[in-house]
Amino acid sequence: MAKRNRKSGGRKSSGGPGKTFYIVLALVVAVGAVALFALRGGGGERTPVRPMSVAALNQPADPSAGIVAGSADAPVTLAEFADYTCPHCAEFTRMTGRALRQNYVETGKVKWIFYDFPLSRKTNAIPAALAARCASDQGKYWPMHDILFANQLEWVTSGDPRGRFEDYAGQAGVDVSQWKDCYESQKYLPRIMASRAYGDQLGVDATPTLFLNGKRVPIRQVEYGSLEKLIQQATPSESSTGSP
Amino acid sequence: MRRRMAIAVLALIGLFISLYLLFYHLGWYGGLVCGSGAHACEYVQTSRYARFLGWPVPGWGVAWYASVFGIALLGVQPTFGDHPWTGRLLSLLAVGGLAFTIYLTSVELFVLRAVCRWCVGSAAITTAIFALVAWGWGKEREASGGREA
Repeated sequence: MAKRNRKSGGRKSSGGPGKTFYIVLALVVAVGAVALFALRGGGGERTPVRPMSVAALNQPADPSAGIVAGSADAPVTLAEFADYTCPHCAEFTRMTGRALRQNYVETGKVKWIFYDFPLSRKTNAIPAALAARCASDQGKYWPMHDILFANQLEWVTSGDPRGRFEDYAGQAGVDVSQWKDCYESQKYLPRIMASRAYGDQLGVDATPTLFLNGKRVPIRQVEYGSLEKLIQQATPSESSTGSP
Repeated sequence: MRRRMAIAVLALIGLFISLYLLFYHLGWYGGLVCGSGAHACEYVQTSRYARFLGWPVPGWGVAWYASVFGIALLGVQPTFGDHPWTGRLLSLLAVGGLAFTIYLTSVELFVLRAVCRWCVGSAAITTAIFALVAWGWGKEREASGGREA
């Protein structure tokens, strides 16, 4: 025997929800659509340094577009593809990168090549990469690189981070007016995008991505202990007998 | 019936939140309105955790909310209201949605240490949907125990 459901829940005697329900749905759709339209401007206009030229953005892959640290004769090469706005890249630099550079790059055991891999053209990734590259003109790439990552949260969502980048450039020890000329000119934009294109060619799809002597490092090994082991395994033994 | 209507309304609100975040991911919107402070939505939305199995997380959100909305809407129609699969599908989606929400919220709090307010809003809606669905399980158990629901 079928039981009548006395809890109508707004059900009219003919069945189904009442008009009120559909009115509420229509209101939600209307408010939602208006909100989507109103919020399309975003939380702050991103102000590019100046509009980036399409020609400068479309570059062929160039393996020489990375920034090199360490001896050209180092037996091990570690290539890092990173985005300055990426939280994992900041964490990698803080927890692993700096220590590895100190212990292996400065001692001549590893050549480190940093490739810009801006994940998006709409974030501050490219402006940050430009800021760092312009510091390289005065030999201060790595101090600027470390400062950018260390202070990432301060500028990553800023509508216009130029002021902060200028402060960082001063902290890195560059001549700020010279740095500003470089930054405003965007002269390193083609190199940054050629670096990105090279990463695309290698199949880089996330940051940071590392290659040790040309072989991609599995994500679970992107931490100090594992990288140290990989570097030691890749380093030719100093006590090998006989000349090559 | 009332539960499913509430679920439908909540899912529709959640759908618009997910659409907003998806439009940002697709580059149609330049930035996110997220209040001031260093821990902002864009920091979370541009992290590696903003993609799942190759798709933007808001894309999964749009699909999930649209499914929940569709099934809840069907579930208040006389033709499908008593159909057992309506309840089962909603239950499956609610459990899956809650599990994914717990995962994403944990990532925000313990890995990224940044809180996206839109994600919090979506998490609250998903949790409310789960609570409404779970409440229905209790009612079904009472009904199957011989007491009138």
